[in-house]
Amino acid sequence: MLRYLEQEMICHRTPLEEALGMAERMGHGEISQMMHLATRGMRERNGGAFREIWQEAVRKALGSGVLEQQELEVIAESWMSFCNPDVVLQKTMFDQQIARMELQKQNAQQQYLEKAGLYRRLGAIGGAFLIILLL
Amino acid sequence: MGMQSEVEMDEAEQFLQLFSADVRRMLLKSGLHAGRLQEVRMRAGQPLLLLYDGQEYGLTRDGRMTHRIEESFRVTKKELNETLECVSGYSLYAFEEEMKQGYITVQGGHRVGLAGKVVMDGGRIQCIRHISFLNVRLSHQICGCADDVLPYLIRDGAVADTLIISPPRCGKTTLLRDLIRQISNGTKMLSGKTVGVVDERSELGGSYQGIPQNDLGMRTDVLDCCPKSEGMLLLLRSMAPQVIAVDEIGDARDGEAIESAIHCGCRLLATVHGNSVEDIRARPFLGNLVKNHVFERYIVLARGLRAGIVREICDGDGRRLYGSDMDTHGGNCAGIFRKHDLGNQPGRADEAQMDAPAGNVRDAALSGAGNDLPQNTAGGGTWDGRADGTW
Repeated sequence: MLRYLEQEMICHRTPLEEALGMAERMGHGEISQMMHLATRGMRERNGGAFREIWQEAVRKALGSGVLEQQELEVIAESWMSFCNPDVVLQKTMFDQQIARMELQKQNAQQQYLEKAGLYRRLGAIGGAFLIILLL
Repeated sequence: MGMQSEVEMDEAEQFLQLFSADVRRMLLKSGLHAGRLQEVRMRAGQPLLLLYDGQEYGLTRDGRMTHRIEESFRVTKKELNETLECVSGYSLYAFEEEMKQGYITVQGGHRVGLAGKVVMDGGRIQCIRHISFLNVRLSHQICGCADDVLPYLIRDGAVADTLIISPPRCGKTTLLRDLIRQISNGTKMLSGKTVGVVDERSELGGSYQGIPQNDLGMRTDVLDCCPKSEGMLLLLRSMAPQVIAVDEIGDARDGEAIESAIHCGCRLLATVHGNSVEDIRARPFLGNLVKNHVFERYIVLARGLRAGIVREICDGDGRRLYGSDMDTHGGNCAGIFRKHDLGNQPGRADEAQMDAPAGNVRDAALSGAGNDLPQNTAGGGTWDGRADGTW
């Protein structure tokens, strides 16, 4: 999703509101909801900073989900890639943000594998214990 | 903000949306009239300044306009960044190319000047970073401001090639915009013409996503964000305009394109920065256009306490058709409310009698809100023309 937004924003110069709207239609579930809330916040244009609009959208859409606090923080901080008063910095922020997300994903996968192994072992021990108990 | 009509309310609303929440609140509290506000200047760590009715004011935190600038609200970097987000619709990256010129044009045709750290690449501006200075200049469309000027520009049912000469912030773009609108729609004296506008800085049309936000008339085609020289030739080839209008001509390529356009039988309306026809004559490229009598009319605007004071209108030979013997470098601004009576002018060309509307020519001040101006702001020697009974 970030790569898609980067392409829309940096290459096609699509205004952020429009780009997030497109991402909303592309995505689904909580991600789509988050994009929707951010787009709505921008459309209302109450003069607030984008950081506030984005973090509010992240909190509302993902706050009660399965993501851990650290993961939520990474997503909440991604506002710097979307709206930055420094255009040069914005481009590097995209790369940084994508790298952080990738790292998060790898960590999550590793955790999943470790936990899956643990649960498998626990299951096997539990099964063996049950068989012994039955015998 | 004090407002009048529904249209003005919409404009004011749109304008307010350019600012951060705090500045917006202050502007709202101030009760100022959006139509009279010309500029808002924001500098990091410095007072928030307004140019209102031609005068500089500070704006305090509680929304009070004051001449005591030191009492004014100090703009923080946060306010600046937030305002920058608002003016760009949270999409500053989309204005990267425009930013290289030092300003962006936003919805409504307002121009936001930017300054900060300039990053160069190979001798060219690559971008502006750490933007710490903003100048929000309001675009005011004043329909009818060219009413008194247009008759001087009509020759044998056609529009004369015209150059509007004016110092910055004196209303040349506003005047040109209304001329375009009137020429395009047609008036009692002139049938509607097809007008091609090359709007390099999106100031004339204030186009947003290709659609002009200002009324440029029903027969007007707008080439938005296009360099003037290329745009004029492109319009000639593609849209067959009878009149081409461009704002702020200046370099050699513009001069060549103007000559091409005129030799194609197209009429031209252009503006340029300057104080007088002599100023323009002294310039390397534009001077040739003057010497070659490319233009048939020159409208010279004066720097005064408000925008839109027509100092003189001359023909291609420099004969004055309308104007006064005011200091050519704007020293005598006390005369801005004075009616320029055509009949009293020395050197008035007979041609003007034919072209000019019957009766006295009214002060061609552009500002539609001119009557709202406090009459005592003009300083010594100011004179309210209406008291004279000749208006």
